[in-house]
Amino acid sequence: MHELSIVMNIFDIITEKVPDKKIRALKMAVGDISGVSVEALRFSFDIAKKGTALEDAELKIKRVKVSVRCRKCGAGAVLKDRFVLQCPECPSRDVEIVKGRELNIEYVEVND
Amino acid sequence: MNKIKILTSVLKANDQLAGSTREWFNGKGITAFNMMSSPGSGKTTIIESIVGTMKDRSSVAVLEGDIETTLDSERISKKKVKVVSINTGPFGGDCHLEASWIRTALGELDLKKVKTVIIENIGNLVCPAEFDTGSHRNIVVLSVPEGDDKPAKYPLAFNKADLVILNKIDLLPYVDFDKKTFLKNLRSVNPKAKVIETSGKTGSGIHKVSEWMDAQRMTRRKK
Repeated sequence: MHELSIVMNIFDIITEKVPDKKIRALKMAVGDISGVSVEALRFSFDIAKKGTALEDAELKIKRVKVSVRCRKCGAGAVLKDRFVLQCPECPSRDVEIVKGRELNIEYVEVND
Repeated sequence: MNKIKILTSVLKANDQLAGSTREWFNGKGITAFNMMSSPGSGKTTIIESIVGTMKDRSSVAVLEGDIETTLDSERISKKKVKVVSINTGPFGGDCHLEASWIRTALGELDLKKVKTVIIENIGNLVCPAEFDTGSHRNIVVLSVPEGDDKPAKYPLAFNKADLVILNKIDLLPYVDFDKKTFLKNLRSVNPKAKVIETSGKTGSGIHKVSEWMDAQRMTRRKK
């Protein structure tokens, strides 16, 4: 729902970090519980890139699954389907989310 | 082709601004609560009731987030508390409040006597959960007609909650809402959040919410 404004943020960050370059590709890491829809992100990206340095850029997205670590016994697990906070080893529910919230720009590719 | 590493979170700017807002609140001795829920769960009625129970209404300010209209702010201002309306846009604007909106709205308020800020986020259980507003505590309101499956369906919002208000509890006999299933779903995404049952209609449970908010203020003051 707010992917377009997120894309605008992304463009601002890239323009600031890599000014005056034609971007060929953009690699993002998007966590499963980042709240961002990858489809909507791609859709917004294709609309917003026209007339910018990212006009010809390809959007590459790496999905990041949710990983948890138990605060009691230290066991870790990657959540397969549902988002349920439960230690994979012991009965504890006191688990920390270590991965899955990412909404990160990893790198851009530019012409030499 | 040349690869340039950037490695930054897109939400970093928002998170930093939210962090500095929190510091700013701390400096003024203000405790801020961010209230999230789907549309129609009863957030505004609960806020009306909470401020209604307050002895000193000059100590509270309400930030009312809505995509359109100032209807909620008008309701709250009748309670003689400071209120600012945040309209995110006339054409289906932003679906959540970002830290920058909060900062702008705070600038419009006289906060001299204020000790409590209540942010009523946009009615939406998805997006507001992603954006830190700069508040100290998150409150999620769920009304029983919405269903006991909602914590499982919107895990991020419920995961971030410090308090879950189960509202419209007076409707329990008329709807298929199973409290046990709700708690099971809630605990699977949030083992710690406090749960308080309320009815905005009858006012039951509202004093417990006020007490919880007082307790949060006290805990923060001790720190």
